[in-house]
Amino acid sequence: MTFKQLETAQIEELELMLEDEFPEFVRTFISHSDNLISLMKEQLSVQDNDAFIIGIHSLKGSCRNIGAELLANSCLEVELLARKESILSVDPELSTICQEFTELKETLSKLARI
Amino acid sequence: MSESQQLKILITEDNIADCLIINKLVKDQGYRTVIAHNGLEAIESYKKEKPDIILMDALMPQMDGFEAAKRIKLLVGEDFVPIIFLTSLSDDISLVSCLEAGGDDFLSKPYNSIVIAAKINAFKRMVVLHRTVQEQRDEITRRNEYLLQEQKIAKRVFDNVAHLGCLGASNIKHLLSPMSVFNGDVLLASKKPSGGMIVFLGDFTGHGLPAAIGAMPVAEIFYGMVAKGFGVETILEEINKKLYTILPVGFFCCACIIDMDYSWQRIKLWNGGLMDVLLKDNKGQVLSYPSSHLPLGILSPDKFSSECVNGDMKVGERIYLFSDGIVDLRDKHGNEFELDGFAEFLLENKKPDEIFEHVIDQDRLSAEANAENNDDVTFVEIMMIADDVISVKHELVENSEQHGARDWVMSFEMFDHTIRDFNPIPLMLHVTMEVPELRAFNNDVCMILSELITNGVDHGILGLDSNLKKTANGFQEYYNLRNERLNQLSGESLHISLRHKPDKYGGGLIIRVVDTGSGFDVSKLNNEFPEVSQLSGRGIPLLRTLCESVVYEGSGNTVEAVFRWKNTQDDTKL
Repeated sequence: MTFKQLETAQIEELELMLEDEFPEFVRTFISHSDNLISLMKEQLSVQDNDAFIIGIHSLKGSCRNIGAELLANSCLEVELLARKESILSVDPELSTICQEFTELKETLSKLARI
Repeated sequence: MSESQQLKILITEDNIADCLIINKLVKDQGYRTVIAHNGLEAIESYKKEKPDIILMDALMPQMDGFEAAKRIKLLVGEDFVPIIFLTSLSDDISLVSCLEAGGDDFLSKPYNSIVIAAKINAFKRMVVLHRTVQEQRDEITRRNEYLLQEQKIAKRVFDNVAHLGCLGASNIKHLLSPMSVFNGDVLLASKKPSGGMIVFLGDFTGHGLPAAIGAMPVAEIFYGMVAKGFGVETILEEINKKLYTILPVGFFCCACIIDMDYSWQRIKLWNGGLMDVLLKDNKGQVLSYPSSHLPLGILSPDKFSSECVNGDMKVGERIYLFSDGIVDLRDKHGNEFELDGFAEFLLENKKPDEIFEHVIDQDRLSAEANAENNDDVTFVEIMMIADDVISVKHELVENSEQHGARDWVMSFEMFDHTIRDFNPIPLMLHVTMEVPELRAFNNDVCMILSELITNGVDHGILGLDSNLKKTANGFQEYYNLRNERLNQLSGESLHISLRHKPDKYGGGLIIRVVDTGSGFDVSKLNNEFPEVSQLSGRGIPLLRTLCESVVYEGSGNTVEAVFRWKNTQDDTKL
């Protein structure tokens, strides 16, 4: 199986390691990331630069851990933009990230059969 | 912590999903885990759980990993709790911050179980090593404290045995600088019961306790024998015999002993292995007494020679003794002490009172100069002084002891070779000290005995003329003649009898010495009072000062001296 959103080797290793806990892990990842994204949108609206960077950095890290390189790279771009320029340059709707995350969610749900 | 299960790892990660993964990875390695979700929680967890290793995310809400790492490192103190930062290798700036915050290593995402296992394992070994080192260090500290405590107690005993004797006398200046608690150099000084003083400087092989321990029997023998009136030769033989028996092979004691005779202004010196002993005389010359024997404790008693060198030493002249450690004594310019240099300095010196201070001035004793010392250092200056003020007051003594020999007579006679080989004074003193009240007059009795016996042997039996000793060269001639005649003795004897008798006020000791010599004109001596300043006439006036009476009888072969002491107690007791 190959997915646009996922490095197969990485997610397969996780599945192997987590065994029965894998579906629970996927659920946790999805809900935690959902939560992070909505928090980041709030932070963008109130221009809380520091909190936003922590959030995007955290999402980037967990994406790398599950092999979601596409989303991780999008996060990196946004993180760099926020760090080097300003939170004002960031798309307030985080459209790209939201779009990619929706696709990742679908793929992961299928994988974990949830 | 020998079992890996017992190793506790604190995971600090704000991302729940990441936290799940790393927690699983670490647990799968068999370690216990504790979870914190931000820096503040991590600090609390550290205090509560005392983890062995900390995995720390860098960016976290509330308090980031850098700040948490800094604070935890402060709490850790001298323990070693490695902090491994969980971060992406692509974040160059944060890597530097991790190190600055006290981070020990990094783990980058995505996590890899093999890398995690390897890192934790490596740090586990370091933690174990660090704890072992700390435990051993603490154990060493404990043992060292215990050892120092023991040494302090031992030092008290040691100091009581190898005490400084009469080193506080005004004519002695000394520096004793041990490089550890115990001193491998031993410096002893004791007044002779017959007047004058004996000084002993010993330098044992090595330093510290092993070197110092040999000083105890040396001090015991030295003080015991000097007090009993033994001569330096006998004392040296006894010390050598003792050290020969007790010291292991390769251990010995370089030593010098000096017998200072205040009344004759003479010294008797034995140097075995020490640096040259230097004497600056009143004419400005520097005389050297180099070592002429092997150190003590090397030769068996039958091979050992206690032969001393005799020499003049006038009032005000000073003699210098050093232990080998002195060559390590540097001044602030780093210059070593040199014997030749010191001899030259002595030669040029016009202010003898400053010589000692010159050698041990602040320069040389400064801490940095002494830091390089690796041996004990001893330096002694002894000045010849005029005769001790002789105690003529026969002080009243407390009669503290009821038991003891107070009414007795003792007779001792020695012949030919025994006259040459045996010093009867310690034996005589030993007997007289059985009278408890006489112990206070040990010195007086010793002086009287030695004068009477010396007169009996030298003038009575050997027929030596004391006028010979009036000149410096005469001394040598006197001693040569004395030795010569002692070796030729035939059919001669010296009879000594002691009678002690209590009386109304205390008691009296009557000493009779009879020699087999040809005698002399008694009438001349008994009426004549030679001047005190005349060296060779010293004996008789001294006796007359100390004794109630000194009477030569017959043809001068018999002398009787009476020494009387008074008791504080009521006379009815005696």
